[in-house]
Amino acid sequence: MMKKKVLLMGKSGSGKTSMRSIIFANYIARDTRRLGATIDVEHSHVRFLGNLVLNLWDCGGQEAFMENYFASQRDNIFRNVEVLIYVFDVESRELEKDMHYYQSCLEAILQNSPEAKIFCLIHKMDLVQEDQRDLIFREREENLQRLSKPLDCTCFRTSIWDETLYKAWSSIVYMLIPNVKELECSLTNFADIIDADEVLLFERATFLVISHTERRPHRDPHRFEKVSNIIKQFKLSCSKLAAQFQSMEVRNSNFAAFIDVFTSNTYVMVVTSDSTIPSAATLMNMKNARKHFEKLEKLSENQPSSMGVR
Amino acid sequence: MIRDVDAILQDSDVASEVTLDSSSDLGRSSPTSKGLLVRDSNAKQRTRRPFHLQNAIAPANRAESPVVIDSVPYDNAQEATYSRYKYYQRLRGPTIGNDQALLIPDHVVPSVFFYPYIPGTVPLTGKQSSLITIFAVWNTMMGTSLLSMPWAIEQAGLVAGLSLILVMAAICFYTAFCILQVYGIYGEKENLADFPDLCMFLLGRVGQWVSVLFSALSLLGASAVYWVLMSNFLYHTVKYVYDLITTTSVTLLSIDDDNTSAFNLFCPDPIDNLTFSSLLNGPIFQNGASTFDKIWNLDLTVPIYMALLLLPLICLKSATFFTKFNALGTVSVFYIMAFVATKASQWGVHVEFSDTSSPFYVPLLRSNFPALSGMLSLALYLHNCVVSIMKNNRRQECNGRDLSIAYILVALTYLGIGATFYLTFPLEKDCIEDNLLNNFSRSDTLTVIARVFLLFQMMTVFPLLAYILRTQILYAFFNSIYPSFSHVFSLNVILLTICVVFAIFLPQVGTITRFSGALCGLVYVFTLPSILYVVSYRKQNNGQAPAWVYILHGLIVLCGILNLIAQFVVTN
Repeated sequence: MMKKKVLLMGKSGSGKTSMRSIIFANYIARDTRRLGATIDVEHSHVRFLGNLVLNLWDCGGQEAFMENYFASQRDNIFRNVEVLIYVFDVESRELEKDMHYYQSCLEAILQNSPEAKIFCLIHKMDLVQEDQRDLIFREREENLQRLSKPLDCTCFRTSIWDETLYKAWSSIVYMLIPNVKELECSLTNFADIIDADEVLLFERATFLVISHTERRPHRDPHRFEKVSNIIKQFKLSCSKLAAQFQSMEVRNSNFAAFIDVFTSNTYVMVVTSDSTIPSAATLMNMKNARKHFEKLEKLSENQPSSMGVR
Repeated sequence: MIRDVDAILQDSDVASEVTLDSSSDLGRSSPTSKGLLVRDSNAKQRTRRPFHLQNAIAPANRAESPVVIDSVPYDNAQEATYSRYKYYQRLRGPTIGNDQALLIPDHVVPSVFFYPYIPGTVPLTGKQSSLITIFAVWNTMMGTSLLSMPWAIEQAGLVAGLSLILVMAAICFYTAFCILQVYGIYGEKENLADFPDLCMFLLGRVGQWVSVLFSALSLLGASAVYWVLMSNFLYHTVKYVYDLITTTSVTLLSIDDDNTSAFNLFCPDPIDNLTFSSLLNGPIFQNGASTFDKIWNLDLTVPIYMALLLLPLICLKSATFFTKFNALGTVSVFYIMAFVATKASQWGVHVEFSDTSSPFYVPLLRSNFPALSGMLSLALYLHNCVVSIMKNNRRQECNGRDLSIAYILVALTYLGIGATFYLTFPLEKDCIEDNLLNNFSRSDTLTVIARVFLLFQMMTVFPLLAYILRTQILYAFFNSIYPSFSHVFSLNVILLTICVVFAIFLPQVGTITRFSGALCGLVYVFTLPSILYVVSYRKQNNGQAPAWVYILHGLIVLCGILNLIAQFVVTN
């Protein structure tokens, strides 16, 4: 059974490699200012959401050569695609051409993987003036949704220098998880039972937040991204020693936080401010909850795919 | 497991800070073509501070109250930006080189890190103009040797003295310049801080130990000199106040010679080295001495009182408080210059070149001239910090010129003060004391002011000297500048004991200065810079060096050795 793919496509220089490096915590590839297009498929050998593999493709660039190559490899590229993420550079001066390539990709998707989910990221929004951002984004969104018919595309505006990138990818992951609503209910129950301040569910490879329950309000809305960045840096350090990150416990007089493997696709983070609860108790509860959540995940895997065109 | 985690997390934080160097910190907005060209020119011209948020001591419940750092509330968005910044720095990895990817652009850095642009001003570059550098060099070299310069010139004879000053200044300038040149080749590349590191790099462990040892010796010598002077000033000041309180008559306290009482000047008895027998016969145990004189005694008790007074000060963990008084040093130099000028104008010139029996006879050359050269090795000594000072020069290519101007100014100052005092001194020339204030009576107003002021100034410098000495020794032996209070305390007690012993048994500033100057000068002024230059020259030229390099520097080292040996030949 061939692995399903996540295609990350866009014009050369639109920010795909940086994005991949940030989301998947890889050291960034040497020459991001390539003079030529990416010919080779860049596989990231990461199990993303269990059974997805990320492929990165440049679209456009060296006209004729690219078109030919593209044409001959098309079926190969676009078969078995679960998700297409297309990146647009908001600063691009060649809007017509960008749309042209985008439409070519859509045609290929329609032919080879009509069930795929389409996401469009309007990227590098930090280069646009703040008061113009909404306007420009809405304009592009309308345009893209019109062009994408009969397929549906979900648009996000992103920049690596604010929280929008993390949020966009978290939304994408959220939409890809089959029974996310049930997961959220269970998570809330779990939090109530163990009397935690907050429980987070992270995707395993990217530490994107899939779902969270907040029983005590927290003033910092950026905390998910910060925790994710910290853990990804830690994973980078671990990889230097050829070690795998498994779990973490952080404790002081005000709180205790536990990060541990949960199901085969997720990590859980439990934060409790009641310092009288011994660690062993919380860890035991987490271990017991694991079984329930794994059952939930197995159920969804065995169900016929509920992912269709949104 | 927990310990490994600590180590790894520590590493990741450090790594993300370490990759932050000034050139990589300037980001361009995006890796598109326009970003490429401006980057290199901007590397030199920094318009913002490095992006770094301090770790704040967060209030108890961080979830609810905002964090205030440096009284600037960093909001959540800025903290989030900083978190991203650190993470992306990490992702750039060790081999990224000059690549633009994931560099933070200027428009994302919080505005507090930028310097406001004020038209017509030059942005803060942290560099100083040549004039300021020259002044800094002059200021660093000017020290208490000024008080001993007249005595030293008297020891050498007039012409010998003047030419010796110029010759020594030339040699010291040349060796300091050698250090600068060698540092220019290796310092930036190897990230060396100063002269001792340079020694360590080029000469290995031996070089490092030698430089630490002799640096410690020179600091010890300087401390002993400071101690003698401080005890002297303290003694005279308190005795003056005491006499002022106890005498009822308004007349001046009687001094030995009447004809010089107009100048408040006198010729003190030569100090015999204190031995135990003279101690026993001295004022403390003599029956006729007053109680005050028994308690407050220059030879024995005052140095000990000073020790009790200063011991708590030098045991402090950090000496930065005392650096605030740095300006006093400059003021004291100018005061001494004004003092000598005033006195000289009052006395008028008193010189006699041919008649050897006259009290004003000024020989052109005396056999004691090594005393001057020994003292000058310490007076013109800058070599262990010349790099740090010259590094801040705005135009580095002018370093040689600026350093030479500074040395000329220093030589002229010493020359001027020393020669002026020497030529105008109205008593026998060989009465000039190695601490020129000793020649003045206790009640002379200008002298009283000088003593009080210098006492205060030295009391703020001595803890700094002790601190530097302590950190060098402790770091060399224990690899930490503050291993524990007991270490520091015992070291300080040893230091003070040595100082007190010098003050009691050898309170002669001139002797201490010339010996420590010659010894430390041999290593730091003559030998090490020459060796460094020769080693670096050979390294640059594949192990070859022309004969003149060896000869010239060999001569310099020979001068240093002769200087040291000659100190033992000087008669008091």
